[in-house]
Amino acid sequence: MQGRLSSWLVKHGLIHRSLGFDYQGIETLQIKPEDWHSIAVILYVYGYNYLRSQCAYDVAPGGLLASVYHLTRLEYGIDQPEEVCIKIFVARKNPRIPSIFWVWKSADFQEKESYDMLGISYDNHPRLRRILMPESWIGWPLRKDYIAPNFYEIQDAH
Amino acid sequence: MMNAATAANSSVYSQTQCRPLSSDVRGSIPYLNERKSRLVVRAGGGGRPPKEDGEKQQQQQQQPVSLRLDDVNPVGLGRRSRQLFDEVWRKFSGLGQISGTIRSDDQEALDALLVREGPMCEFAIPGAQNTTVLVVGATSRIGRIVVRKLMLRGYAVKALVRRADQEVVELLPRSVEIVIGDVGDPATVKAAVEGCNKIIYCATARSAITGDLFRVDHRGVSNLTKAFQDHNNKLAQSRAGKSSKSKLLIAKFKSASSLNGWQVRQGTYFQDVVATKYDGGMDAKFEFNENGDAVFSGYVFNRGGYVELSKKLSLPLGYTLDRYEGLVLSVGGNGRSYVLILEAGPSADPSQSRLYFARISTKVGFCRVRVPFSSFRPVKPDDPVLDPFLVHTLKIRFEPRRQRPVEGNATMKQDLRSFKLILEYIKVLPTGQETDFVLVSCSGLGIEPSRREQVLKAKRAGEDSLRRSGLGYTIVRPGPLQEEPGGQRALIFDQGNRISQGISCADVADICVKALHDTTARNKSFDVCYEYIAEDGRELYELVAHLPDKANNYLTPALSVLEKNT
Repeated sequence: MQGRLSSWLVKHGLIHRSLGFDYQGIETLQIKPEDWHSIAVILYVYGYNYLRSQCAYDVAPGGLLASVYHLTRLEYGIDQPEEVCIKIFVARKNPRIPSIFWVWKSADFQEKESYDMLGISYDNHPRLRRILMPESWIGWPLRKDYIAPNFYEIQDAH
Repeated sequence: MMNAATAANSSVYSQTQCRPLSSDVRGSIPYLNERKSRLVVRAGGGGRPPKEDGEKQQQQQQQPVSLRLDDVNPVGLGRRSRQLFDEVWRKFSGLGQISGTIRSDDQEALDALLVREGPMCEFAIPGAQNTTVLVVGATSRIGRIVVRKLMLRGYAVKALVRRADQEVVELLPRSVEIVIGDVGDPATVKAAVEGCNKIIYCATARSAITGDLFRVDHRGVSNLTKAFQDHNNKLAQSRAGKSSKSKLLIAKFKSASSLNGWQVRQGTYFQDVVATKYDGGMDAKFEFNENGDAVFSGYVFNRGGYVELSKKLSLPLGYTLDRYEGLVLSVGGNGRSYVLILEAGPSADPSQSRLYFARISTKVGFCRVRVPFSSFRPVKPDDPVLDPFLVHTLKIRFEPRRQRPVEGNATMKQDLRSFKLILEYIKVLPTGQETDFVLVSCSGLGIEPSRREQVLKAKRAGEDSLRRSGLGYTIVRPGPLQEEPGGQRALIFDQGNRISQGISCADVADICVKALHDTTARNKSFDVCYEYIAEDGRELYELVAHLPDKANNYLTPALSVLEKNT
């Protein structure tokens, strides 16, 4: 079966892939990285006015990196708002995804954390930098091929 | 960094002094042995040469390592910098001696340091320092100039020669790594492609024997492509199983459970009720036989009928086909033609999907069929071009009306409406930016007519094996070769076997070297010759010529108008 947003996107000719529904029944879509900025504006105009969360994860060792966006359509008087989950997969080398800071402002620190932990570069983010690790840190700690430094050798960690 | 290394050395020194080590413990721990030998060298002024184990480890440490930010390990970076510091200190302390033993490995290190120091002129190409090119046929007329041009541009060159005679060694530059081997022998070819990034194949048979022609022009290309792909697969295995050169496996038919998900369907193009009365029916099955093969077999006696094998693609999470270039199938057929169909569109609602088809032909016996996504055409002509991102279903269809007669089977007449297809695997080829294999082939001109048929047959067989391999290729077919300086006349790049002029060896070598990093040169075959003016009354088309020059990138505009995947 097809979700409601997927039918609407198909009707308007927007390229996406349906990834089914998650365990809460929320529709999940996959969108190309180069189409994400325009589709994000379209989703905002459609009514998804709240970015509930944004995170990123490493799909497999040596595989792809995924950036996840949970969007909610907040309206007055609605107890069960409509939600959608957008996933964007990028290659491990030089991962670039357009930033949605200019659409949903709450993506600011969440995209910074995704850049810090996984190295996904969000294009046109105004202040993309590390917020958890030091600026001089080498490597992306939440990647699955990351080797944690041994802090007992202080001279090697810097 | 230097302070940390010095502090580490001091701590190591104090540790060694405090703990007395017996000979057994010292021999069983090679790392401590290495440190011990270094300390002795530094303290005593290098009077004693280091031991054998330390020497081997130092040789291993001296291997050049290219660092990238994503692959950097902080612990390894610190240790490697400390090792490099110790190595440099050891060399500097050795410089002060008046009389020292010059060892052979030091001689080789000094030679490598002096000779391979980068490009010697302004022809430097970014990325050439990290690229090793294997030149097959380095002693031929084109290969000699190719080797010189590669050395001038800063590449590392390996040359595959049959014999390392004195004149062969003197013919090639000194920094070229010479590998002795024969292209007809897969074992030596496998040793030759170790550490290489690209291959330029300029070899040609020196005699007119048919076996020699096929050994060099067909089997040599096939052996090299197999060895090169095995080498790339080995690199992919060592890099956590995935790299930009890994194929994506869609289906591998190895056991009976691998046939799950595949469905056999029937259909017809005609909806006529009257025609159905006179048809003989159709049937097909897809099963795993006792020989361990997955066989799709059956017959189609209905007019306008077809049978097809269908499967919904199940790729790993996040993988879509838009990062890939095409499909490669390993099939065993009996000369029949089949139609590959891709269904693209929303996967949840198949009624809005679009069909794209491409025809493939099989041979008697096993072969690999490579179908690029650009060759898929929409079934309805007004549908848009195939977007591989939206592909969700793959079909293999047999329809008897498109079969061409097989000439070789005139004795045993087979029914063209029955088929048998053995499937081995279906994979997706990765998209690459540059070419991997440059093959200098032959356009047929300049050869005496008695030999031309045999030479062209061998050359075309080699070209076909390169095209089916899945590597990014560039096939250059020059006209008759001349011994002239390059860059004197304009060149014509064409497809369609229409050229009639010669070309200089130096110009062909320049095209081979320029095609290594040209994105437009990937998966293209073209003829090339000098510019000429057609005789009156024989003009067929307007010639587009390009003048080769040092500052002129003539190859990109010349190749961008040519057809790809040819």
